[in-house]
Amino acid sequence: MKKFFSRLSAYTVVLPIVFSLIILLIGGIILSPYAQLASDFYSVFMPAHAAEQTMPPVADQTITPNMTLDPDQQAQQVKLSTIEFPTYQQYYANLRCDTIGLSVKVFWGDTNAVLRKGVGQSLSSFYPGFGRPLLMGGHNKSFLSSLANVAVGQVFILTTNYGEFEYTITGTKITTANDTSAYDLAQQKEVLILYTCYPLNAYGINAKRLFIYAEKTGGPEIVD
Amino acid sequence: MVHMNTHNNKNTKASARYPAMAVKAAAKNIASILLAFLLTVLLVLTALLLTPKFALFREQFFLERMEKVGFSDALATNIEQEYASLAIPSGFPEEVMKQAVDRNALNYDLYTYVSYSLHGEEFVIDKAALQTKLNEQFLSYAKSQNAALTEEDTSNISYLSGMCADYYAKKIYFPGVKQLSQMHIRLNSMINYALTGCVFLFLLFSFLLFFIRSTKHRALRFYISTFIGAAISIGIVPLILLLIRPQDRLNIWPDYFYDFVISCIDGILWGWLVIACFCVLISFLLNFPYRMLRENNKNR
Repeated sequence: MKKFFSRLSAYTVVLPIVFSLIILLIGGIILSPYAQLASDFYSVFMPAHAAEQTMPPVADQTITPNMTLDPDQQAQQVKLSTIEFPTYQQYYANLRCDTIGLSVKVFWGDTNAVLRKGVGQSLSSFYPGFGRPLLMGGHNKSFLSSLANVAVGQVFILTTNYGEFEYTITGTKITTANDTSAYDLAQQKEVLILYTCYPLNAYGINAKRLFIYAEKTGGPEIVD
Repeated sequence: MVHMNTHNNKNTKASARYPAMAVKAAAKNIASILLAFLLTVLLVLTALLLTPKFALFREQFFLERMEKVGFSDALATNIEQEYASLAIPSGFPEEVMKQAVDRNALNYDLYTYVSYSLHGEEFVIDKAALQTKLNEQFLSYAKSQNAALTEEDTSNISYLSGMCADYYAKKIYFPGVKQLSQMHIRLNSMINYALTGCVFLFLLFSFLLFFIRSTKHRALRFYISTFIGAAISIGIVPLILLLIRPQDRLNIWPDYFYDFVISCIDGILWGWLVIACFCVLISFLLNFPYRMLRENNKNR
């Protein structure tokens, strides 16, 4: 009886396990050239990598602009090390133009989600105070509808947590949506370029854009 | 018990007395093990070839999973949200934008697209007709609000309708289906030949296994090993994957597509487990003829 069971286990346990081990080993060897492919797939779709790509909810974290800053008393220079830079989709500044009654939140990034909450600043432009262009966009029928009354000489105030910046409007331009010559982000001058759809109160998706150019006329300098 | 021992002792004594017989028995055993192994390989290959045949390339497999995860409704909600996000820039209320999604038409388009694609046929969404329909809806709303529409407004609304129609079509043509369809066209006949080859070789090796063993219950013993070996080989990987579930960590966006992909992966893994269980069942059933033949052999 003992021999019967040992023989039975040899045929129902040992031999099948040996067979499957060999098959899995052969399968592994055959599939090993594709291991890199699987690894690449894993790295693309696995959360460790994806976590970097996941957008944080808009306005969940904010860098509150210092609205109590007195422009006359604020420092003329701000040390770079003291600045808290915004992350993607973070609310970090306020833009206002008292003459036309504009007051809107500014977010770092210009996704659809951001544009539902305020004005979005393009990631390919620069932070205020760095002497380089700032490109901001917003919806014409909500936050930027008051731009209908904009005029050269009016002043935009951009309030951040490290200072209040003043930009004076130097010009406007109406152009097509795909006219990339309307903004030069390589220029070595601090210009606030604000754009929205045009006409401001039309139905549908407008093919035209209104660009407003305002040069920096006040605010601290950023130093190392 | 006494009878079995006497029988085995007889064999041992015979082998010792005739070395040629022992060599022949060993050769038979090695050949049987080799054949049993080849049969196991063929069973595993058959299971793998059945996967595309009955899962990846089968329309019903996809449609059932889409139904299970509520793919169509989730997709409709996604499109509604996208349309709603155009509410502010377009000047239409969110409700008007959301109403532009016809859930019944979407359901029909989606299922027809999957069905046609998996049969290797082309299904093209009539974007122009959809754009016209959306355009009429938006214009009729604007007119109901007594808006004085300029030519520019009309053009902008037409552009909005075009955007909506493009987005709709993009979402209906969801990724992977076209590629699967192309694979289906290219591999279908190859898989059929391979399956036929596997079945033919399985029958041939089975015949050889029974042919080289004069006592049939011994051949059946190897046959049992074959099915259990195939069950382990086919079932072990899906079992581990279903227990650890690394597939749940796949970062696929949006959620409804993630649910669909996970459901398809699980479906395939469960399919392999069912095949493995089937193999175990066959090996269990083979025990009965094995015992019967063994008893008959002893009584002879």
